This record gives sequence, structure tokens and C-alpha cells, in this order.
Amino acid sequence: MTRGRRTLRILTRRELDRIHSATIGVLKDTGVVFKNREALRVLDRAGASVDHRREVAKFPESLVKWTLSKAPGKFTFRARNRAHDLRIGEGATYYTNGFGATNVLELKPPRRRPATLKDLEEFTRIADYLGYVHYPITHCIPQDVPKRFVEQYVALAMMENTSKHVYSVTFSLDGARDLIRMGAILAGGEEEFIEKPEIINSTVCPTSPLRYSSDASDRIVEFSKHRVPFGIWPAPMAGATAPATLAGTLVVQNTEILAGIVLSQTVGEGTPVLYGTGSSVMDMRYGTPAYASPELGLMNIASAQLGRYYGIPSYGTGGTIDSKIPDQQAAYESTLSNALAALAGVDVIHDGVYGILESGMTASKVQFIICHEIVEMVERVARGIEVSDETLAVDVLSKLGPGGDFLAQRHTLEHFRKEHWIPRLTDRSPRSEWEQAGSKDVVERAEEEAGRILKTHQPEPLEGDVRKALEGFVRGRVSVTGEG
Amino acid sequence: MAYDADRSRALAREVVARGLDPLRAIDEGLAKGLRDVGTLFGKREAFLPELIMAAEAMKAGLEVLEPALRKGGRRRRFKGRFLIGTVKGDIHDIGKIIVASILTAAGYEVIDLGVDVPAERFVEKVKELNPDIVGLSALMTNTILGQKDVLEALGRAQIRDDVIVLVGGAAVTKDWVEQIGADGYAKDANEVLEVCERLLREKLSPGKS
Repeated sequence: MTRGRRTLRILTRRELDRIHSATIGVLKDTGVVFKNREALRVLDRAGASVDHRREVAKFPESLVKWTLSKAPGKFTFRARNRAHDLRIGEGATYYTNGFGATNVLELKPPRRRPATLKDLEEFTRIADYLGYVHYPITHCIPQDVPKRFVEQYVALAMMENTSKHVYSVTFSLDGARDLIRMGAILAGGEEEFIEKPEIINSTVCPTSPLRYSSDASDRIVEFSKHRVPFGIWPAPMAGATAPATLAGTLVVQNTEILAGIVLSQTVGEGTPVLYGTGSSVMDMRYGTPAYASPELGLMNIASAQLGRYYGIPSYGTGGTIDSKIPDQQAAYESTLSNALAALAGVDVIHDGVYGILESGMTASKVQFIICHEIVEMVERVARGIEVSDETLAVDVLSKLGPGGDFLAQRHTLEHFRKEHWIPRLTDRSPRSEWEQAGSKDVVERAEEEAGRILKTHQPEPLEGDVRKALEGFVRGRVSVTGEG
Repeated sequence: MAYDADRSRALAREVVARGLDPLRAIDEGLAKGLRDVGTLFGKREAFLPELIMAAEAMKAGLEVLEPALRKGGRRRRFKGRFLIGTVKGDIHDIGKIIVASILTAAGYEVIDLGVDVPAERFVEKVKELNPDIVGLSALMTNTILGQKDVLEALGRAQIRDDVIVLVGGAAVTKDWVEQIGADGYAKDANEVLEVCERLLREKLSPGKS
């Protein structure tokens, strides 16, 4: 979380300028599709050149510049427990958990099954416990609730199971509107919500290349009307939904984000938006998204730089895993992208404490605990090496002289906890002790830890009347249409 | 392999100009080329860009050769006719394009309706073209609801039983297939051939499956 030395760069200033001017060219000459009449009308009025029949909006540079100047560079994600408020855009890196699995992997006995509402509650509860999940996002999409009300059930489950800031998934305009209504209940009333709509956030994804679906456009408009923060998170796959080249894919991503920002800031000036990326490559053997590729790591470094270039906090993707089980592949994949994103100074690392396998398809509690360990390790690296008179320790060295023993020094006592990462899950014990404890591998140890957290950790409960109001709201939605 | 649509078109024109047999040009030229790439793809020696570009090259040649074939009153033989499209509300294209190319390479006649296709249009096209199989693509957890809409529309038009319905997409599960009453799904592009062949076999000889 601390600022440290997050100085990893991959693009020069001149290269950033070239990506920017290529983007401006695409915005002006090729344009972006918004499959939504209201969005096109808004953009038309704002000064974009709109072809309503082809649903394409083209953007003059002046309009892009104006709207970029309106998007805030800093804002706060509020939590119902204010101790968990997060100041975004001030140099700290925050992590979320993974997003949107539809299955859950169980290990004993090995079984992959559809995710349930209870799973979402449990993953959110673990996320509430884990220190490096700075705010939970929708870890899995429950398959056992009526499909038309998934968004409402998800929001309720998340609000009940964490006192941290909440990002709840939305797919549709109705879902976005209900999330806003539930956010108002959570904030303690309409007026409080108008004052601080940043108690919730969500994400909007363009459909690469260069398109926003009707639902995505609706949600940009709706969130911006209420100044609810949201991330614009494109995930073009190089070679399939973007050029095969990474620079070309950056242009696609950048064009989509800037077009989304124009719509957002035109509807609601000052709405907090995040500069997102889930850009990666498509595996050309299988047609699957390579969601944990080294290329994704590169795109994150570039995106952190582009976010800073525009003065908009970045919303990268790290920690992701393509492996289907919690194995060595899972660990190296999750480590590389997190390390790159953290060292590049991404503001919010979406997925960071991933806890999901199979490119987003299958959630795993064991993997969740292991991913948290990886993030702890990465954050120790990102904190860097502090150099001062005290840390150079010349006094101690001269006092002890050659051959001295540092274990018995006050200097050691004062500094070791801060300077050394002391892992809880990682094994470095003497062999005899490890054998005595059952010769367990990290998967077994992580499974025990997940069980322990679920048994012992209770999130701070919602105030009674807020809980009742939220539950009543969701019940009301479901009973009106008679779908139970 | 040149993967070159322009050359394929030029060679096809030469076939017509010289009065050669268009059916042989298709079967032993275009289709064989694509089939070979399809085999290499199956062995992971060729990759998707090669497969898709080979399919594009075949398409370019067919645009010239098929009219010539029709003029002579002859037709190509296919394993089956496959109608494919992405359902209304979803504009994801890639998965559908990959499946269409693999099916074309394997000898199916594929008709692609594009993306964001309303249920009524699927019904209309099933009536008009009488395909053996309809493939409904949808990527997202929410847009797969559109697959259900198409099945219901086919039911209302009383043509549901005339056609095999396959559904596809990242969020599709076996449970979903059963829930909406589709005939099957394939988890990935390669499985789709197996599923198609099995379902066509079952359709032709019911009870033997």
C-alpha cells in the first residue's frame, strides 16, 4: 500500500506521445461505436460528429482534451467503516480480489461445480479479512439465483459481508439503477448518497475493438449522472479483437477509454473514472484469452504510464492465472503480473489478490490465500530499500567492528520487523519441524488457513435498519415479477 | 500455403475462363487447402490466424466458382448446413468466427448471420434456409439469456424440432443447456465438430444413439 519506489517504466515520453497522437487520429477519423441512441445524442450535443445510422461517434481533439481536464486525478473510495476509506490517485497501490468466476473448485474431494450465492458470501468474507484486499469486488457470479436479479443479490451479499468499500457487478441499466438505490440505502439516505456517491463503484467494459454495447453505454450514462465512480476496463485480445502488436492494442484500449471518458464527463462533469486495462493476447492455438500472459504484464506498465499521462488513476490487472488448478503455473503467473503492476505504480490492481483459476472461470479459496501471500511478497519489494543514516547503520557497524553479532543489537530489534517480510504461509522451517507438522505443501496449508478464516472471521455487521432496508429492497424486486 | 484471398480469387477466375470444372476446383483446390490447414490446426502446427485466413481465401474463390457451378446446374455436397449468429444484446464476434471457420474447413456449409441478431431473425432464417443445425453464440453471463429467447421463438413458430440447436460461449454450462432445452454445447472450438457429428447422426437414426 505504501508509496515506495514504484518507478518501473517501459515507454519513453516520446513513445507515449506517439500512442496518444495515434489515438487522437483514430478517435477523429475512425470513431467508436455506441449501440445506444441516448449516448449518441449526448455525444452529438457535446460536439462529436455522429453518424446515427451507423452508430459511430467521431471525436475532435478539442473535445477529448476538454473532457480529460474534467476527469479527476484524485478521489476517495468510501467504505461503511471509514477506516477502510481509500484515497485513490495519491501514489499508493491498492488491490482487489479476483472478479466474476462462474464455477468453484473444491479440493476434497476434487470437484468443479457452479458458484452459489453462499460462495460469494464466503469469498467476500475472506476478502474482508485479508489485509491486501483493499476493497472486495464480485468474486463469483452466483448461478443459483434468478438470472434477472443476479445484480441485486450480488450487491446485497457483498454489502452484508464486508465493511470495506464495495464494487458490485452490473450488467444492465436496471441493475445499475438498483445498485445506485442500494448504495443510497448503504450511505444512510438519498441526501447522504448525493454527498458521497463514492460508497460504491462498478466497472464498464467496451467490446473491443472500438465498440460500446447498449448496456455498457447505458451504465456509463447512469453512473455519471450520479457521479458514481467506475472503471473503464477494456480487455482487447491482441491478434483477435485488436492488432497483433502490443502498441496497436494500446491504441485500441486508449481510444476506447478516452471515448468512454468523453461520454462520462459530458453527462456528469467530475465523475471519478479509472483508466483500466485487461489487455492481453489471444492464444492462437486455442482461441482462448491468455489472461496471465507476460504481455498482460507489459500492458500494465504501459497503462500505469498512460494513466499518469492523462492524470487519471490507473486500474490495472495483476495476479491473474490461466492454470486450472492451484499448481506451480498458477503461482508463477500470479506473481509476475502483480510484481510488474506494483512496481509500475498502478493505482488499483484489479484481480491482484486473485483467488481464481482458469482465466477467470473457476474460483478457489486455496488460491485466494496463496495469492494474498504473493501480494504480501510483492508489496515488500515495491516498498523498496530505505536509505538514511539510521538504515545505513554505520554507527552500529563501527561499534561492533568486524566479526560482530547483530542479533543481540537494539538496532536489529528496532528494525527487523519493518525491514523483513515475515511470511505466515510460506515455509522456511527446519526440515524436522516441517515433517513433524505433517510435511504439508502450500496448498494444504492454504486450505487450512481458508477454513480458519471462515470459522473465525465475522465482518462488522450492517446496522439493523440498513440491513432490513437492503434485504427488503431485494425481496421487493424479486416478488414484483413473481420470479423467485 | 499462401493464405492469399486475392490470388485465390484470380485463380478461380482463371478456372472459369479456361472452362475447367468448377466443382473439381473447389473440392480438390479450395476445400482441400482449407481441410489441410484444418488438420494442421488440429495438430497444433497451424494457428488461428492461418486457419481464418485460409477460410477467407476459400471464401474469395467460392464467390467466383459457385455462380459458375450454379450455371451448370450442379451443387456442392456438404456434411450439413449450419446457421450461426451471436444473439441479441451481444456483439462478441471472435468465438463465432472461429467456430464458423472450423466447420467450413470440416466440410459444412456455414451461414453467418453476424452479431446482435434478434430471435425473430433466427426464426425467419431457419424457415428460409432449413439448416440442419443452428448455433447461438453469447459470451456474457447476462446475454446468454438471449439464447433462451431464440429457443422460445423457435418453439412459438413450431419449428423447434426441425433443427438441432447448439449454444456456445464462456458462460454456457451443461445446466444452462438443459434449462433452456438446447440440444448441446461445445466447450471449445475443437469439440464443436464432435458434437455436430454426434447430433447429426442421432437425428438421422433416432433411437440408435
